[in-house]
Amino acid sequence: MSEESATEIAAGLRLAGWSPAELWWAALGIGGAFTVLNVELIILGTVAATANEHDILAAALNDHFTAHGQDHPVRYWDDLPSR
Amino acid sequence: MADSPFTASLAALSRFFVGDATLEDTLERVAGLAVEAIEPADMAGVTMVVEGARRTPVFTHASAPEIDEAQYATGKGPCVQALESGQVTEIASTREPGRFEEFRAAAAAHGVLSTLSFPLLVDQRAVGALNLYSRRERAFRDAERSDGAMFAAHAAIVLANAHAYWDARELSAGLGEAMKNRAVIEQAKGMLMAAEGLDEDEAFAVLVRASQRQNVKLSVVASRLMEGAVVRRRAQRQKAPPRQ
Repeated sequence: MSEESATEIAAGLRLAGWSPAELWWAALGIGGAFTVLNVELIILGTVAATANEHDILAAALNDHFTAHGQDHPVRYWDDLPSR
Repeated sequence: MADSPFTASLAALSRFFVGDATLEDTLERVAGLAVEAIEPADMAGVTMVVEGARRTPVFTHASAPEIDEAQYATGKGPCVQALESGQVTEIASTREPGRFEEFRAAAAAHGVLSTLSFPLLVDQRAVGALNLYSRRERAFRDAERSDGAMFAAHAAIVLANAHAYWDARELSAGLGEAMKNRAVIEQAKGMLMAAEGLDEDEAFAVLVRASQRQNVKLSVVASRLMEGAVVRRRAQRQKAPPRQ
């Protein structure tokens, strides 16, 4: 699950063209309590995100995509294939 | 004893308070002082990487960016070299053949016959390049090379301070905006927790699902939820019989 979550967030990050710091910033604005290092480690799969952490990062990315006319391309925890 | 133009310019640079001006104003002031400080220089420009591309965002004469375009297009020229290598790069005569052929031709066509480019080094890393252009061949001697290096060192500090100042300003402005959205999301989560008996993560998941269903940002869902709750509560209060 952790690898799947990391892959999903990393793909969203690439799609957005964001750096981990930009994702951290966006997550902060919606209730995230990460450090930039936390975000980097989650993306690398070194640290496993909890369901809530995954959803915060996914929501931060999806907020960006929503503002650019896309409909939530980053899957939330419950929508990951192995769930 | 009167200050030399170099000493006066250096002093002006050291007194420069970056908070008084925008980043662009700061760079313009640096370029202007460079021409005053290094006498053979007829014009100056600052090369920087702007949004991933090399640019001359500030200059003291309109010819400077036109000349620089020749090197940005080919990726070869003294300013690019100074920026990338961190080394001082000089062309004694643009009329003579040598490295940076396209740049030499463009400079000579604009009447610029010698150039001297200094890296603007911060923590051993070039954050830009200060480019001095003269209408004379072999205009820059050892004294100008030495003065120019000292001026560039001071200019780099001003530039680093300006960057730090404006980064902090942007961070502060961004933080204010982020916290505004965060507050409404936290309020909506609190309301869901109280009304539905959810824990914090479950309340967030409810907001996320609503955001996905409506294809709107999370803060919009939270705002709508809070506005709806306020309207309902006010309506309930109006319907309720007055207290005895």
